[in-house]
Amino acid sequence: MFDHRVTVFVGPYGSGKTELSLNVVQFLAPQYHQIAIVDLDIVKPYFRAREFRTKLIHRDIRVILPQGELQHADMPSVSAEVFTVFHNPDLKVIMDVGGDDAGAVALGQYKAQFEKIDHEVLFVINTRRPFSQTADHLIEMKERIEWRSRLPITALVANTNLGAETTKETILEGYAVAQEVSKRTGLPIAFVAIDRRLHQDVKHIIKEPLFLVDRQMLPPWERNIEE
Amino acid sequence: MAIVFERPKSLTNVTTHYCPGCTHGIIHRLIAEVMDELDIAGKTIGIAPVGCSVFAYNYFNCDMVQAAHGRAPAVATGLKRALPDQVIFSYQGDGDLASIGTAEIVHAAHRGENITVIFVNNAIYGMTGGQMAPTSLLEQKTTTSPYGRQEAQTGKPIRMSEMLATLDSTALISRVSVHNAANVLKAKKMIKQAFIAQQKGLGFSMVEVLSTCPTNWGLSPIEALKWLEGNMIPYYPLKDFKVPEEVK
Amino acid sequence: MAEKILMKGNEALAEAAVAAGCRYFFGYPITPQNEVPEYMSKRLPELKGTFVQAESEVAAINMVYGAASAGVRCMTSSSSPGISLKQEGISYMVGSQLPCVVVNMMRGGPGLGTIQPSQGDYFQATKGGGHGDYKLLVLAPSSIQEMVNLTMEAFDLAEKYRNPVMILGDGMLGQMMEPVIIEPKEPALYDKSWATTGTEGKRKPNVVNSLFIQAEECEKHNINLQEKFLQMEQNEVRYETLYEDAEYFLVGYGTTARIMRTVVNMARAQGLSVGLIRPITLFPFPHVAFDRVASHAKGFLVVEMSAGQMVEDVRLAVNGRQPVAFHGRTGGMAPEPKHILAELIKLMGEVK
Ligand SMILES: Cc1ncc(C[n+]2csc(CCOP(=O)(O)OP(=O)(O)O)c2C)c(N)n1
Ligand code: SF4
Ligand SMILES: [Mg+2]
Repeated sequence: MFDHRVTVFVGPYGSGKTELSLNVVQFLAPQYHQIAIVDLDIVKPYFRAREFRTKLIHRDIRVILPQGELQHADMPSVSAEVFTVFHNPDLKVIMDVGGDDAGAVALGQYKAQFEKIDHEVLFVINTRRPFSQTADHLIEMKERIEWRSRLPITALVANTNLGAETTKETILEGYAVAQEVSKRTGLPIAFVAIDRRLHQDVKHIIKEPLFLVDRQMLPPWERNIEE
Repeated sequence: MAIVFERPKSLTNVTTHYCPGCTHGIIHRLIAEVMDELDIAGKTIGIAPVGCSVFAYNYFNCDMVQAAHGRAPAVATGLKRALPDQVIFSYQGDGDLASIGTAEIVHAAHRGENITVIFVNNAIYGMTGGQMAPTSLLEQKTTTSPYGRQEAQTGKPIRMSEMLATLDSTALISRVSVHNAANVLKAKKMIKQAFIAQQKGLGFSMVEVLSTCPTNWGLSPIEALKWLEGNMIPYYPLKDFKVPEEVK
Repeated sequence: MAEKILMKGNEALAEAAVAAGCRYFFGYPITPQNEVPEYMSKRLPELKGTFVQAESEVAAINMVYGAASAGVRCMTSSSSPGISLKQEGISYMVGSQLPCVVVNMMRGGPGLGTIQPSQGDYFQATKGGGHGDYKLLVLAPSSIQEMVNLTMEAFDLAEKYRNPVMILGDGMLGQMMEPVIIEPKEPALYDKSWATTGTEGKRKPNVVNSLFIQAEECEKHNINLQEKFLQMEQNEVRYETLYEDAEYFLVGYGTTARIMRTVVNMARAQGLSVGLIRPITLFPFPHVAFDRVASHAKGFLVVEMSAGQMVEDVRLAVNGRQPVAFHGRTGGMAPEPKHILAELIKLMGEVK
């Protein structure tokens, strides 16, 4: 997992790209001297990676975002700092891209840069999301994202979940759909993302690597309790 | 002036509240005659504006909806989308359509809504007592342009038909008048073509009808007709800006 | 769609409207409710319904006025600045007795404010909002599933009373994701003989109208409307009370109530006698919830994402029987559990 210098998460709207990006970057941080998360989400107004900035900076993770006041602006601003991603060969990068083809369009401008660097583009699948329940829907979205982002997708991530209500069955059912997408597109499943609390339940059933997720994107009533 | 024929079935048997000599009444009658001739009263929903014609819902013998000032084209959009097989028309004054409701008319036209708009331009706000409209002529005295409309402060009168005709989505745009019998006949013909355009699904149709307001112009009915002919028509030329072949 | 799926509040609300039989949506983009029109633009064409992106919120509500005149289930949605623009149309709909559902995913104001969540439009929603003497039925969900259920019911209530119903959410409810079940339901059948659908030569013309030029007539019309609002007060009050036997109550709706549930648990873990009163209908306001605890309650703490709006209704409901304290955050900030708890403890100290 994650053996390319740059990992880009794309996928349908709400499929869990930001939650994954936050988890992955924190998981990898201890292993890398220089690591950054790039928030390229131009479509979603709340719950973006940028809201976790302080926490990430504390762990020596560079956070590349629209700067200053624009951080909370109602506009699709993208930082010029993104270009450093391409020019610094020692920087490990996780990129969180906005949902659907509408969000993926923000990648299009970097086509030439991506061609020159070692990267992977992971398509995140949550089959418990609207317009994402069948392989047909997912394959259509995959093609639309590739067309708008001008980047070929290189692998799939099975990330089916119902938030706090995820069960073993939810995961396995989504895993099956991801396998079908994999078979029909020829793309491998890079890993299956699961809630850490369900690890014991599924670890013997799934053959692909597992990535354990701790939910971070919580609403304010779950967020503040421990503080 | 207009000869009294038999009352069209599409008009109710109610005496209108319009001032004597006001041409709103003639325009109502033309619409009703067209509804009779096309036999569409049972499938027509009309929209009354805010303006002197606000009570139009009492006069047309079909389902009617009263709309907020200027919003008739949006209301028509909602009705037409819900009832695509019915005939939807709005009846709007120049304050209603050319001032407060410019956004609604421009965008109904821009979307090519399949509705018919009858735009009654009398160069004044009739209902509220004769204030200046965007269509009032230069030097025209109104209660809010007591020295006559001055270009320096208020620009020049707006020509809605010309403006809307520039939108590619409009199907039929024409300006007619009702100041004499020959023009009344032409106006009726164009109103009919506008309704037919809608029935054929051709898209947005608007007939601008130049109309009088003897009361607020301070003229007798006859003088008002002459004033319309001598002052309004030179600035607002009678013209078919767009008429689709299918309705001719 | 009877299985649980993970949905954003805005998407779930849109799908719930569809499940309730709404096939006509008119809206204009504004954050944080854009997912509603976006979802509808995808979903309604699949069902041969109509989505129109209007030129403004003014136009959108008037398109709703037109569609509602035709007797169909229709909806518009927006966020605070756009809701201000809809007020004229909403007033006309009440005056013309037209049903529809209006959604407000509130954001911080005044003016352009912020895109972050707020509850600053409570007065506007519950006290009329536009011109004239009128009320909307205002429903305030506090979870996505509840938003789904209330949205579906809103269409029935709108038709039952021939009055607009407002779903008053906020950006947080619109944007957060929770698992939901949405079960399509046959719309209840209400009389639509008033609709302007064309007489087809079979009946007298119908007129949709809010003009009653004679004062006597207009007063009669107003008395009829007030009678409806009274019926809403008699039949539609909804609220939730946690720990009705408690001595102190937190009071809040929507997102704020979600935060306060956490505080109730924190307080009870410390042995404090604390409950929660959560109005679900904001109009009609649940006065009865306060009457029921009047004999034993010692105080109330109202928390809002505003400078203090619902607190006025709580004070009217409590009617001087107990002290009513207030804690609010504005401008898009959410109240934090620890601050609410501190305010609560302060109130307890003052009472004793
Ligand atoms: C929002 C709003 N603003 C102002 C008015 C007052 N008003 C009523 S009719 C009218 C002007 C109507 O003029 P026009 O559309 O030219 O119709 P006419 O009476 O000349 O036929 C105005 C300003 C209103 N009813 N609503
Ligand atoms: S005020 Fe003018 S427009 Fe209105 S009815 Fe009288 S003459 Fe006609
Ligand atoms: Mg006029």
